[in-house]
This record gives sequence, C-alpha cells and structure tokens, in this order.
Amino acid sequence: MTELLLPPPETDAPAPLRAPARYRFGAPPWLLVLAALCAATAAIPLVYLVVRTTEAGLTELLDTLVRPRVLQLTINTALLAAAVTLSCLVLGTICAWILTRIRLPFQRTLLLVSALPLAVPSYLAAYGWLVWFPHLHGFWASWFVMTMVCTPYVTLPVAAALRGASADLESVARTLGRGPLRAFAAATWPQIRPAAIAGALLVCLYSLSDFGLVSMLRFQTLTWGINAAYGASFDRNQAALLALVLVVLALVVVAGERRSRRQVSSVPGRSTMPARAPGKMAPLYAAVLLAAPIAGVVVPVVGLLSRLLEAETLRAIDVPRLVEAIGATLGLALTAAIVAVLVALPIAALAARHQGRLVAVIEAVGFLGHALPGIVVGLSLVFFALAAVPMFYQTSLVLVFAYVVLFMPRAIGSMRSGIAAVPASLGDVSRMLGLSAFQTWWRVTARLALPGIAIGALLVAISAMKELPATLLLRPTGVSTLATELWSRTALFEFGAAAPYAAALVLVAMVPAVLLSGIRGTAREN
Amino acid sequence: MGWVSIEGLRVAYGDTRVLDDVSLHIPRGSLVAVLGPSGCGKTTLLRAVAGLLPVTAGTITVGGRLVTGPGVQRAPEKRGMGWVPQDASLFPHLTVGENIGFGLPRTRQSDDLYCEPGETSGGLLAGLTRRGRAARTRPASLHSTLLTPAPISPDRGRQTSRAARITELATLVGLAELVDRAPAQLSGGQAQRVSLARALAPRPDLMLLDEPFAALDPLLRAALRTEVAALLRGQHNTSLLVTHDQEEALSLADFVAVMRGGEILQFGTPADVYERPIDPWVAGFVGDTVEQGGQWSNGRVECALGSVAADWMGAPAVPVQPGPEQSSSAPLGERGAASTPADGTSVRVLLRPEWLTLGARGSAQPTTDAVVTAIAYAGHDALVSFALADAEKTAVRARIAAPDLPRLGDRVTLGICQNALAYPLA
Repeated sequence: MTELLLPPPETDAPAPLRAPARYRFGAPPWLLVLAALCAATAAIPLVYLVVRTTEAGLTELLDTLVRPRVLQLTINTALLAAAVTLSCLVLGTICAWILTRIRLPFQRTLLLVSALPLAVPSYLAAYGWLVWFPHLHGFWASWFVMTMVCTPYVTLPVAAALRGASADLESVARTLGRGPLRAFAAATWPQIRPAAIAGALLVCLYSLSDFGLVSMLRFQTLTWGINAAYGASFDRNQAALLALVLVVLALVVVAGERRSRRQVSSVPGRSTMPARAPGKMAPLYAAVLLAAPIAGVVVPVVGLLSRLLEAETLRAIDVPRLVEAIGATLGLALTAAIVAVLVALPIAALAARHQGRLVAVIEAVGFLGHALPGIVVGLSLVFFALAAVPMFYQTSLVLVFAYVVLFMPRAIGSMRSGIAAVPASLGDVSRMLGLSAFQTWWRVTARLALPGIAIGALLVAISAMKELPATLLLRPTGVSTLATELWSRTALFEFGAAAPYAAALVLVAMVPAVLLSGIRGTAREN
Repeated sequence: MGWVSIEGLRVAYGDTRVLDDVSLHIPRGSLVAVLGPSGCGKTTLLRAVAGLLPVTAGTITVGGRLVTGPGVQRAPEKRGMGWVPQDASLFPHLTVGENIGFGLPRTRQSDDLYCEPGETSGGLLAGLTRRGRAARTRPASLHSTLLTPAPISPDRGRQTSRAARITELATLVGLAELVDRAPAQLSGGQAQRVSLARALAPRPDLMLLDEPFAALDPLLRAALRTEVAALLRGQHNTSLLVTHDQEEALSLADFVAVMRGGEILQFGTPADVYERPIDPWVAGFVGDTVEQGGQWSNGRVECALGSVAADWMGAPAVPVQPGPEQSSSAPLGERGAASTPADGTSVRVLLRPEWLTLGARGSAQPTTDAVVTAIAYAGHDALVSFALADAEKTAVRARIAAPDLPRLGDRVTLGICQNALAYPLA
C-alpha cells in the first residue's frame, strides 16, 4: 500500500553496463501513430476548455479576470497550495530522515503507517475532522488537514532517495570539518533534492486541484468557485474562465518543477548511513512521524466509526441505496481501469523502448491529466459532450472518459516501467527463435510486464473510486457513487447519514490496495 | 563464395556511419570471429546479419538465400539464425526446458511429431524445425543439401518429438538434470549453455554469438568457450562470433575478421592475423608488440637488432597462395599488391615479444648482446626487458618461457626466430 498513489519516481535509469553506444532506430510508424492518437484523447479536455473560453470573447474574458472575486479565489488557491507544499516538504523530509537514519522499533510498520494518509481521500479526512469539530472552517483548517493528508507524497520518495543516497559524501564532508547539519545540507540534500521536489510537485498539484476538502471546510478556492459558478448560476462562461485560471496555475507549477529538477548525477558510493539509536529522543521522533497518520487517518476514521456505530445511524442505513452506490463505484472504476490501460498501453510501450523528441511529446501529452484538476476535466467534458456528442451527455461513457484522462498518467507510469524492465534482448532472442513481433509481444514482453500492467490498472481503479468533482459534474442522472453520496450528505451536515458511505468507500478502496500489495509481493519473488 | 556472404554492407544512423562497406564471406561449417575494440561496429554487424536492425546498403545471403538486399529485409524470425546474446537472456518466466524449446514449433499434442502432410521421411526431421519450413520455399536443388546437416544424433532417421529435442539439447550442453529449473537458479555459465542450446534447437543455418562469454568470470570464461567452440564444431554449425577479446578470437575461430571504425581491416586465419598483421594497429590489437625504427634493404631491415629478415606489411617473404576463401576477402587480396619500398626507406619494425629468444636457436636471423633490465614474472613465462648493446641502449621486451628465465643484470645473447614485420612510417 506504500506506493499506492505515488507515480513511480521518474528516475533516469543508469545506462546498462554493456551499452557501447547502442544505436536506437526510430519507433515503428504504426506505433507512433497509435500512441499519438491515444495521447490526443488526453488533450481533449484542455484543448476544448481553451476553445470554449476564447469563444466567449477576449474582452469579456479580461473583464472577468480582473474582477475582485476571481482575484480573491486565485489568491486563496495559490496561498493554500504554497502553504501546504511548504509544510509538507518540511514535515515529509524530516519524517523521511527519521525513517531512514534512526533505528526505531517496527521500522517496516512505521513506513507503512506513514504512507496510510494516502489511502484516505481528502474529503474523507475533512469529513472525519468535521465530525469531531463541526465548526472547523477556513484557511488554517484546510491547511492543517491538507498537510496531514499530503505529507506522505514527500515522505515516501525522499525516504527512498535517502536509502539509495551514498553516505560516503556525507562522511567525507564530516571529516572535512562540517557539522552534521551542514554536512547533510552539502552532501546528502543534493542527492535527495529531485525526489523532494517531485514529491512537492504532487502535493502542490493535489492542493491546487482539491475540491472536496476545501468545500467541506468552507475555504473558497478556485475549485470551489468553479463548482459554485457552474452549479448555482449556470454562469458557464465564468466557470470556464476560473477553470482556465486553475489550469494555468497547475501548468506553471509543473513547468517550475521541470526547471528546478536539475538532474543530479548519481554518486556511485555503496555505503549507506548507519541508522542511529534514538536514545532519549525516541518519543519526539515517534511523535513527528505519527503526526500525519494520526491527524490524517486515525482521527477521521475514529470519527467515522463513532458516527457509524451510533444506533440511530445503523437504523437509518438505506441498504439498497448503499449497495447501489457500491455497485456504481465498482463498475465505473473497473471500466475506467480497463479503458485506461488500453489507451495507455501504446504510449507506455513507445516510451519504454524508444527515445526522441516526438516520443517525449507524446508521453508528455499522455501525462497531461496529471496536471489537470478533476473539476476542470469534468467541466470541460460537460462542454465538450454538449457541443460535440450530445447523445453521450450525462452517460457513464463521458464519466469513464474523464477518469481515463485524469488517471491515465498512473497507468502509463507503472506500465512503462514494467515494460522497460523487460530486457530488450529477450525480444531479440524471441524474434531470432522464429516468433513474429506480435507473438513476441504476447508471449514475452506482455507476459513479463504483466505485474506492471496490473498495477497500472489497479492504480486507476483506486483513483477513480475516490474521484469526487469530476464525478459530481459528469455522473448520469440517478447514478451516485460512494464519493458523491458522502459529499452530498456532508454538505448538508448529515454526518451520521454520510458515515456508511464513508466506511464503504474505505473498505472498497482497500480491495485493489490489497491486490496491489499482493502483486508487488509476487513480482518481488520472481 | 561462402555459405554466408555479406557484400558492401553499410549501416548508418543519420550522418553517422557505423558500418562502412563491410564484406565478409564465411565458409560453411566454420567459426568466424569478428574482433574489434568496443564501438567498432561489430555488434551492429551481427545485428544487421540477424535482421534486428535495418541496413542502409549491401546484401546478405545465407546458403544462397537473400535475407538482406535492395528492397529485401527479411524479418529476424524468418532468417533461420540462432542468436546467443552476451547476457544469456533466458526467459525468466519459463523453465530451462521451456527455454530450450521456445523456438520449436508447438503442436496440439505437445509431444507429438510436427509434420506436414506429404513430407518425405527425409523431411520429417526438417519439418520439426523452422529451417525445414524455410527450406521448403527454396529451390529443389538446394533442398537436398540443406536437409542433410551434420548428424545431430545417431537416431536421426527416427521421428523426433519436441520433448526429445529438448532433452537432446539439454544433454548436449550437459544440463539434462536441470530442465525443470527456473533460469534464476542457474549459474552464469549454466545460463549461457542453456542460451546456446536454445539457439541450437531449431537447427539454425547460422549461429550468431554476441560476446557470449564476456559477462562470465575469467576462469569460467576460458573453460566454457573451449567447450562451446567444440560443441559448435561438433554440430558442424556455421557461426559468427563477436568479441573484443583477442585471445578468445585467436583461440576459438577458424577465421578472424579484425574490425575498426566500421571497417574490416583484415580477414584471415588466427595465425595470419597474429603473425602477418596488415598494419601496426592490427598488430598491436591482436597482441603485444616490440617496435623499433629501421631502414628497409631488400627484404631486410637494418635496426638496433642487426640486419633482420622482414616481411613488408604482412606479406610473407615467400608469397604463399591464399586459400579460396581468403582470396575473395578484399583486404587480403590487396596484400600482394603492396609493393615493397625502395632500399634505404625508413620503416617501422615490429616484432612479437616471443619471437625474441635467448640464444640463436638455429635461426638465420642475427643475434645481439643485451642486458636484462626488468622482469615481469607471470608464472608460466615472464616478460623480460632488455637494453641492447648499441649506443642508444635500445629497450626491447621478450617473452621468455619460465624455466629459462635470466636474472636481472644478466648479459645475454638475443636471437630472433621469425621474420620481423616492416610497415611504412605513420
């Protein structure tokens, strides 16, 4: 469950040892075309949003843009994202340092526990806190809960980087007269910096695009504004404009991360820093480490359970409705997973085996959903469906499509690394033994990459189950998922009635998570 | 014309020429090593022959069948070649036995005979293999010769099943007990043997080996490569081996092609390449050299070692008639044409350290006095440095077999047991 929601870190794999400049030929044209088509689907929402906004007219656009209301929403969004990113970066790095450098008891369990908040959707955490403190609202509340939920995005990659970082440099820095902190800053930080920044990017995108948490805690950000503009007044131009502002913010963040990533050449050192005994500081370390899991998981889940187990709640459970919501959630998630894998497959296969500018562009477009907030994709597809394919408007088809666009990056990431891990020489051998390219793909590459492909599918399924804003905007009339039921009840402050849906969501999302750890386990054994 | 002929092969990536007009002819049943430093294009050559990468120009024929040519680019799976990569590359999801059987056609009744209706008994065995399938598309005249490769097993006429072929190959490489193992449980040497068996199973027309021993540790490497070479010869396989290890190439191959910068500099027997290298670079690449300056004088060179009988640019003093295969090789063909220089021309003189001997040893070459200045002891022999008795105290090195080693400071008489090699100044 540890790596559940994190896309696999994009490491530039060190060139294999033999590689005396193995020349690469271009990808087969049919694969390029297929992958480009698949990637193009991911671009539909963004492209259409831009088209739709510009149709409204440039002057009106600028007028709306400078309205104090829009400005206020933008500032709120940016402030929240910046604050959450900063606090997650600090807390996450400290947690990672404790996890790797201090010899605490139950180390593996601690790592798992510190990853737990990732399994809790932000709106569920917000709901859990509201159960305890119904008056919680505003910037600081949002900042606090969001930080607790997002910290693992930094903790996990930084812990992995720290474990892989060579300790030799730090030792050298110490022998050259630097103190522990300065030695860490000079020698180790550059090695873990890319991981920390990648984690911070995820946090930043998450808090920019979050809708459920800020709505429940009544802090008005762009996502809230988009939903309000769309739902209340049907002022769709305003909604589209706000969505565009949000997308620009997200793309600026992604571009900033690319720029600051700066590839660090890996240090070949073998030794890792020996873990220290915690001594008297043990309780402090434990407290820091457990802050996020307690605030992000324990408090909400206990709140949820306390509500669930109240006699009144249990009596009021609308079982058929609950079962229906579970069914809809599972069905949509499963369909989205299958479609996403099919669409992502050509892109992953291309990116795993070929390089070049065109390949990079195709892959980047496929990853677009990564930067697009769910509410933006939802809104844009509402427009798109109404304008281009009205017969599909308010059908599951468009909703599944939204999930595919949003979560395809997860499938691409895990499938690409799965396919890239299959040595190309196996393909050569298979071809030389008389199998055609497709037979080779089926009997060798796909067979060996199966764990990666399955992980990709499960990641999509989990994310789709928890997705709230796009589901709210696109769900067919009469269809509700666990997430939308939970949200609509919390919005009315019916915390008791929301509890069964929250509990069901936690349980249902655990199924793919358990499968996932199973796959990871067997993959490791092989 | 060899069993495999490569003519004017050119491979370019963009503006970079990786292979430039490479021609190579491999006689049937021989093992040819392509020897060159890393990045010289030797692996590219192998992949081009395998059909794993597109070529820019040139033709490749195997057994009279055009596999690469203008407008022809046969898919790798239709070439009937065996491929042994450097790292064994066993399929990790299959057992050893399944790996060996990977290239054998699978039938409904898995252990049943694979045979198409109307095949003669001679074709039964061939029907089992891809090679046989390919052969059916060839002209009838070729058919009969192709279908009678070396006897693989005494019961060749008998119906051979897929399982039997797997057992046969596993036994051949000495791993019969391991057929049910997973590749991860094998040692590096065992894995490479399985890889070899897997490539041999469909009875390829040509075996391609891409530095198959480079990833093994040195002790194992020497043992395994001897074994593999014997095995390939035993199967009368035609093989093309790529290596950067000169010892490997010289000890295993029937013919060695020395490559550099995408070109084949010299093609010949190991002895040809070692004793009569075409230029100083080849001489240095395939072995240790002792180099001096000298003056050419009618088949001899005047140098610090005296007036030494010498060959000009690898051509022997008494011209020998090159063999039929060699005559078709371009670099060798030109060798006779290299006219010897005028007397008095300054030349580079090269010797192999083991051509210098202690004492005259009955050769017609002159002898020189020298003093031992250093000894690099290597057990079986030693590389001994001498200072000659001339005015410059010219330094030379000689490889001396172990029991006769001189001591530091000894005065000795050095003889030369071979014609020296003379080349134009760079």
